[in-house]
Amino acid sequence: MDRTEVHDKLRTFVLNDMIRMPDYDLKDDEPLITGGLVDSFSLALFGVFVEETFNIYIPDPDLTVENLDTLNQMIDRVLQDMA
Amino acid sequence: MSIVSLAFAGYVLLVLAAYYALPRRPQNWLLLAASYGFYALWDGWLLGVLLALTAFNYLLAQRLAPAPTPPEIKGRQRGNRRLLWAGIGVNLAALGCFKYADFFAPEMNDLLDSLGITSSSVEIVLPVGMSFYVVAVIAYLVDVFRGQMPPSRDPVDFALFMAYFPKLVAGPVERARTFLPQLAAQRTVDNAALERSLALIAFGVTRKLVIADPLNSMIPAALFDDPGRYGALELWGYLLAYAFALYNDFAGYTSVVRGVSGLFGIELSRNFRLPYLARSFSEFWNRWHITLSHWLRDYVFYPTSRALLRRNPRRDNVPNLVLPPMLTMLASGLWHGPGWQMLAWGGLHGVYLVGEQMLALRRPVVPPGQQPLWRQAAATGVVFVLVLLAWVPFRCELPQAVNYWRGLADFSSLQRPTFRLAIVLIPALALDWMQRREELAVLGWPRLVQATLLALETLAIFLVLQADTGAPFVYGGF
Repeated sequence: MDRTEVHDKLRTFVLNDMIRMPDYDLKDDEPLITGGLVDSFSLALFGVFVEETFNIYIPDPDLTVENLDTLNQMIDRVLQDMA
Repeated sequence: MSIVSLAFAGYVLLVLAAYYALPRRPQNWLLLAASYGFYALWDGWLLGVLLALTAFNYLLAQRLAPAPTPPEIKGRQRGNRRLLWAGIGVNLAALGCFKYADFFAPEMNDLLDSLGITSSSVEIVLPVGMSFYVVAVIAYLVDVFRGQMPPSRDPVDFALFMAYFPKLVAGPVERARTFLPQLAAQRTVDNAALERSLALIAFGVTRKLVIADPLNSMIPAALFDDPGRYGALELWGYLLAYAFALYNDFAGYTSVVRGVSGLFGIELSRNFRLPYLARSFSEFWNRWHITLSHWLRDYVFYPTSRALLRRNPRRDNVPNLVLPPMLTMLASGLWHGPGWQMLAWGGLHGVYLVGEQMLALRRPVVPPGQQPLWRQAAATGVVFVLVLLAWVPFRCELPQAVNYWRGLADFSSLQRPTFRLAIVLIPALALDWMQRREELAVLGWPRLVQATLLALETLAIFLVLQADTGAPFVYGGF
C-alpha cells in the first residue's frame, strides 16, 4: 500500500468519523487536536480503525497529541508501522 | 521534611555537592541512597514497603516480556498475561491495604467486637507517595508486557525509578520509558538548564508560599464541616479560594520538584497548564494533573474504549460514549481516596465528559480558535463553574457537600467573604498570565523586569512567612 492510498483512506476516515464533516477542507498538516477539530479521546477511534484497515497496532501510550495531531503525522505513523 | 523548607534546600545542596564530584554510574547510587534517606526521614519503617515492592516488580518484569513470535496484528505483542495480572494485583492489593483499609476499619472493629475478640483500634497509615509510585510501576509492567520497552536489567536504575526523591512524595507520575533512559545517559547541567531549574523553583515556591498557604489560611476552619453557617456569597468566595489554593499548592509543588530535579540533569514532566482556562472538560484533563490524567487515559480510558469500539465501531453507541469516561473518572476518584465523596467527585467529572461527548455528536465542529472570543470566554466560564462545584465533594463528606451546594443557591444572606482573598487571587492570576504562552517566557524578559519580579517575590515570601500561614502539601496526603 503506497502513501497515496493510505492518505486517501485516512482522510476519508478523519472527515467522516472523527470530525464528522465530509465536506470540510482539511489540510494535510492542519492540527486536528490542538486546533480543536477533534478531542484527544477520538484517538481511540483512530487506533481501532488502523487495526482493522491496515492490520497494525498502535499502543495506547502512543496515541498522543504529539504523535498524531495532523493527517500527515497519522500517515507517517501508519507507513512506519507497516514497513 | 517539607520541600519548601531550609532543611530540604540544605539536603539538596549536600547531595548536589557530592553528585557532581562523581562519574555517572556512582551518581545513580548516590541518588538512590539520598532517596532512601529522604524517605526514611518521612516514614522510617515504611521504607520496607517501598523496598519490597521494588524487588517484587524488578523480578516480575524480567519474566513478563513477550516471546519473539510474530503477533496476530503487527505491533500488538503480548507477554505472560497471568503474570501481568498477578503483578497488578499485588501492587493494587498493597496500595489497597494501606490506602483503603482505614476506610473499613470501623466495620472491622465492629466485626471483631461482635465476635467477642478484643482488639486495639485498627489504624493503618498510608506510606508517603505510595499512590504515585504504584501507578508508575503498573504502567512499567504493562509496557514491558506489551513489548513497548525491555525490562530494566539494572536494579539500581530501577530502584531509582521507583524512589527518586524529587518525585517520590507526590509525583509527577513518570513513565519508565522516558525516565530510565535519562538514568542511563550522561547528565550535564549548563547555564541555560540551571537558569530554567531556578526559575521553576522560584515559580513553585511563590505558588505555594505566597498564594496557596495564605488562601488556605483565610478559609474558615468550619467552612466545609458546617457550610450552613455561611451565606451564598461567602460559600462562593471561599470555594473560589479553595480551588486556587489547591491548584497553586499542587502546581507549586510540581514546579519546585521539577526545578530540583533539573539541577541533577533529570527532566520531570509538567503537571499543569493553566487548567482553569480550559474551554472543555477534555481540555481540562489535559491541563490538570497531566501525568496522572494521561496515565488514566492510556491505561484505563483507551483500553476500555478500544475494546468497546472493536465490538461496535459506532461512536454514538451508548456504552462507547458512557463507559470509558465514567470508568476512568471513577478510577481517578478511587485513586484520590476511599469513600463516597471521591467517587462523587470522579463521577461528576465522568458525567461532565459524557455530556460533552453527547453534545459534540449533535453539533457541527467549530475549532475553539475560530470561535468568537465571547463564546470561548463563556465556555471557559461554564467549565470553571462546574469544576468548582465538583471540588465540593473533593473537600468534604457527602452530607456536608449537599448542604454546601444548597447554600450556594441560597442568597437570603448577603454576607461577603473577606476582601483579603482578592489580594491573593490577583498575584495568582498574574502568575498564570505570565505562563499563558510559555511556562518560562519570563526568562526572555529584560533583566531589569526579572530582577524586579524576584525582589517582589522575595518581599512577598518574607511578609507571608511573618504571618506563619504554612501548611503541608495537599497531594502529599494522597
